[in-house]
Amino acid sequence: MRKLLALALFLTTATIFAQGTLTGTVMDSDMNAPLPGATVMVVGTNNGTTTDFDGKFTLNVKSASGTVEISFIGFEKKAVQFSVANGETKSLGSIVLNADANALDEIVVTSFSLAIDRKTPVAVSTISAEKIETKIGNQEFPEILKSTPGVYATKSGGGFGDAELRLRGFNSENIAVMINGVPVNDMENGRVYWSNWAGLTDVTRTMQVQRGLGASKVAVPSIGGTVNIVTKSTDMEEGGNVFGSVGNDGLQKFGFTVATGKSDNGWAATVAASKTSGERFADGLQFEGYSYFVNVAKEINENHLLSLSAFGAPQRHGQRETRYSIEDYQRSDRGIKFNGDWGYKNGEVVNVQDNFYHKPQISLNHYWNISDKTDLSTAAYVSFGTGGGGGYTGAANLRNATNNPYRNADYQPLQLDRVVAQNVARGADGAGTILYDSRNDHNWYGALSTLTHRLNDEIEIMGGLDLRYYKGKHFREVKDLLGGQYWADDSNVNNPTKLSQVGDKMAYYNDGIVLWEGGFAQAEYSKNDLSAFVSASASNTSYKRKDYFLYEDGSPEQETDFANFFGFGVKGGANYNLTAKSNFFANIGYFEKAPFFNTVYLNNRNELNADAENQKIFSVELGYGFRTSDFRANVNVYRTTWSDRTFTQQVRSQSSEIFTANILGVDAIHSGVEIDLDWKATDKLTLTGMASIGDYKWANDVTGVVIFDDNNQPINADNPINVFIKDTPVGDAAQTTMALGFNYEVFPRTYLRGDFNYNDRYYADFEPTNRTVDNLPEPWEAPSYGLFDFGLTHKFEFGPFDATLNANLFNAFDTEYIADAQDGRNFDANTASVWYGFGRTYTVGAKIKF
Amino acid sequence: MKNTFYYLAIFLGLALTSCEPMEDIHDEINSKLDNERAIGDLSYTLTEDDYDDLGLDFPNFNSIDDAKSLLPGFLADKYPNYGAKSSANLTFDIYAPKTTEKFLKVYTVKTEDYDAYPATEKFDNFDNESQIYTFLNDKFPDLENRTLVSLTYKFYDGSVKTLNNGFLYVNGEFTKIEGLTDAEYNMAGESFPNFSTADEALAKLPIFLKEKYKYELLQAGDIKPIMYKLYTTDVQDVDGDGSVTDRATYSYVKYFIYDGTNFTPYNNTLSQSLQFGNIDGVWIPDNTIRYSLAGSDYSLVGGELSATYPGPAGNVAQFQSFDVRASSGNYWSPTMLVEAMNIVLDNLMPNAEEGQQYVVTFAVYNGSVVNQELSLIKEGGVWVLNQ
Repeated sequence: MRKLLALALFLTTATIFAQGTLTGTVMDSDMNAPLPGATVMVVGTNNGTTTDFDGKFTLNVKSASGTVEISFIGFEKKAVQFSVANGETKSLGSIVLNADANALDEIVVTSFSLAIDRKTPVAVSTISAEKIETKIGNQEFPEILKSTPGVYATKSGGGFGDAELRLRGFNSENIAVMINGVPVNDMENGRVYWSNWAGLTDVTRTMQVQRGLGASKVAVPSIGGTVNIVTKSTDMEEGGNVFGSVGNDGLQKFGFTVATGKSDNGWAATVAASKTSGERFADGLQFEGYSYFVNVAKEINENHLLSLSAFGAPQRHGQRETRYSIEDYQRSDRGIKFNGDWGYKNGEVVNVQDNFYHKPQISLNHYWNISDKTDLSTAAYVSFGTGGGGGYTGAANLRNATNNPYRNADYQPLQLDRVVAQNVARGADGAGTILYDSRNDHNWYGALSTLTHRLNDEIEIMGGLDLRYYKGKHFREVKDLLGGQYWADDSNVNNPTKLSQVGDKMAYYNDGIVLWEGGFAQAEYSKNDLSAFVSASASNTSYKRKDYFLYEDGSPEQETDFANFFGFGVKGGANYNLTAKSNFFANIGYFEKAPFFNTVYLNNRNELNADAENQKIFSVELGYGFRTSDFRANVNVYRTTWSDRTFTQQVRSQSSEIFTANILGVDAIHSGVEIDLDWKATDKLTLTGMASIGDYKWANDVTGVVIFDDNNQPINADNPINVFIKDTPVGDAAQTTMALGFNYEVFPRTYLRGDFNYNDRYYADFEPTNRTVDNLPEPWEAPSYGLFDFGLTHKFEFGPFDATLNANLFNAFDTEYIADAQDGRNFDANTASVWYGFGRTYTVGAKIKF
Repeated sequence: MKNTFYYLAIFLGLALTSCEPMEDIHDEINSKLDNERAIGDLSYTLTEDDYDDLGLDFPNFNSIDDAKSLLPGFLADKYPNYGAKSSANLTFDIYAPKTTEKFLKVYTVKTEDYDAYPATEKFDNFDNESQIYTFLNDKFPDLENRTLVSLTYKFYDGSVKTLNNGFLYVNGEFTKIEGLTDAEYNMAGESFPNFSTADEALAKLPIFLKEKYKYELLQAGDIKPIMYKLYTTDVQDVDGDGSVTDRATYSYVKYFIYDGTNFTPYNNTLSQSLQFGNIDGVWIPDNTIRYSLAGSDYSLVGGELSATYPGPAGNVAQFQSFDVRASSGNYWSPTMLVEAMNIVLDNLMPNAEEGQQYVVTFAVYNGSVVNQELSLIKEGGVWVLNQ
């Protein structure tokens, strides 16, 4: 028998600690095959887990004896009694579930603020490890969510890791993303850079999307929702796997996972790594990425557990930064694959626009069982980001696709040798055009600590601290002089005649320092069919800017003081299980979000806008759930009001003095209805469906705004600020999405699946505050489109090993469609700048477990 | 179950209708592209055959206006593959004749001629050109139009010189055309004050003219007349001896054009260039120049406007694109963009003539970087929007 390991679900902010550990394998009675994704729950607690790909589970229990309940959609619930000695690991052996039975719950682990079905009153979709593993293929993280209500996910320019997620019409700066409970939205601008996590899909255990306010206790910008990614933790058993896959355009991916299992003295380690390389569907997107995951855990004694984990995904990938008109793609021989941001130098491909980043995320988790009723879990984490994006500067035009002397003909790759020849000819005058990297390095240190206390059987209270220190370093550096002797840079006042060489900083160099002190408190009530919570959070964000180029060394102007912004939020909700089949929930919340760094320090200078305003978010939601043994349905109705969207305008007075106006009243209302269904039609066939109809629009015009100087004199009386956006649809997210899918067991252990995703009412992206003229047309609405994906999974025994073959075909009918669009001057198809989505792509892979 | 199939049918319908979402837009664009011709930017000088093909008797146009009316058709015929947005710079000849003599009078002013006028009777020479014209009008009252009077006379200008100049009588007026003095013929290697043949005259006169006008700031296209003499058969009996088979000294008016370096005989045509543009398939005279901003142009604008618009100027220099989001602190309004283009075009073409038109293409940032075009025309010394 394999060694089994007793470990809590560390990395956790919730309340679980091991009295002992239960393990087992859940089997499907019909097939006598393992059942992945089944829920294992200790009765009467929030403590639970799901089975892995092999139907196996490991669950830490706090009490010496009790009952675990095992459930899975379409199967009869089963209760198994256990008794376990302190620190003991006990196997419950094989637990067989019989198909077709009573109403079933889909229950998810409680750690990391994950929501629990029929208990947590939020709209939620959970993606299991199995689904990620079989369906991800060459997709990015957000795309695995595309069949989820309210989600619009695209590949942006199409580079490896380049992806955009919109939730209920909000973009990533309004979506909280947490990995193992730690927020990863950029501290300065709130955005999520999915390419930082491009290889992490291999080690993801589950992914949960909470739409709307979400279940997170810490203050996070979840206007659209919250995406929780939970990585694999230390494997309980010794073993591992190797896998490899290939795909279109030279995609190659291989990797492994090895787990030591727990040693006699309480140590355990898991290591996983992978490499992905290739090109992409569109041109000039060569890439190479790695991912690694290391976890080392040590059980000190029965009350203390320490776990150290580190993961990261270093990568470099070519980008398609520029969007082109539809006509450009039609004219190009490359069609929708066209990318103008790359070329050749010395016969080698050069990605003029590229991205490289490595952001290791290291966290040390401590779990302390203070008493029977009180737990403290603390995560101290650190993340070091290094990398940035490439670009060019100088006299040569390395962007325009047409009439460009640096291309052999329109839409042909760039000929960088021509730039080299010109730079060489310039000799002592220095390079005329160079390639640079815009670096955005950062160090982020944080601590997240949660104290949980159970007052009685019904009420649990918790409180915690969320402390963060973030220092971002922003600078540009010379990447390639392209044959020039140097790059003359006059942007540093301390060295205004710098002859920059490769690696030298140029153009700008500044630090952004962000301090964050957050606190939260929550009370939960749970009794019989009613559960409710109320939660409050507050945060103080402090911004400091230090500029090494624009201000003289030693000058006090070089470094600002901290500017403080206070934000807070309150939310509450309740769930009532009306019958064994039906439940209702409602939630309501209000929070204020501190402005971002570039609103506080304007124009990339140390110009403080101390009066920058908080954005205000109010959200209310109703949900209904229906569960039977073979059918699951959810209906949600929501309305989110996003008020005082950041709108800063600078106005020059007659004496040329610049005034900064923080203009309020730019509001958006996102409302909608979401339905999702899951139906196990037969033993072999599961059908899924989703429809999400949103109404995302700007709420009102802001007109005639006159700004007054210190003497209360109007400074723009002749030219008041106007924004005409009332009833204009919000851009850059499909407002109607639908999905239909099936998974059919064609032969024993061979599964064929198909998914259809339909997106409609996608309005081109635009800047609402640019609509300064009344009665403009609506932004261009891109054509609606539907895509078919198919997949095949075959499980078999490969000698003594379990093996899986997996194949995915994306956009099976090679449909041409526009996924991302920027509105043009005529608000129509001809003037829009667009990225097409990928045509037909595929991946085929195999995995062997040992 | 009924409902399930109903919804399935809805989805199937959606699936089928959404399979080719881009069809309509692509069809529209492709039909435009299918009708599109090649975009040529050509430079061409008309040959004699081209004038022939245009039905002209001579290898030149009578006027610029003739050229403007005939050349669009010529371009359409000669470059059938070129269409909208093409441009052509055509070089051709315009017939611009200079008047020469049809008849010749040769006359040497005599003492009694000077004596007939109070102003000249004392010294027996002219000292003022108006005296010559008075004399000519009195002496030759009934000249045929285009008669050249080759006049040898004495002229006081510090000292008394004997000159031989031509006076061409055209439409009732005399125009002076300088000839060569005896000394100048001598300098040109002639023993007698004339050339031996017309060919010799045409070979030597350009050298003479270059020397004669060496202190004058000549510009290409300047045309200079000269009168020269040949000793040749006296077909007109200019010496008045009744014989038309003997030989006599004849004078001729000849024009020479300066090409920037040398004089060449002027053959009554001027070389002209005209820019044509193809608008929607039709060639029309057009002086529009298309220009895409280079990286240095953004830096130039950033530098020039750094005091006026510190934020936007710094931004455009850094990012090499104009931020056109009205909400931005670095916003470039349409007016500011025109101001920026004035800087670019004044730098590019400081001596651009009034009416010169430009279509400039530059990068703007509206959330992403895209190209924008502005059509500008020089009016009153500044570049304004060309509506």
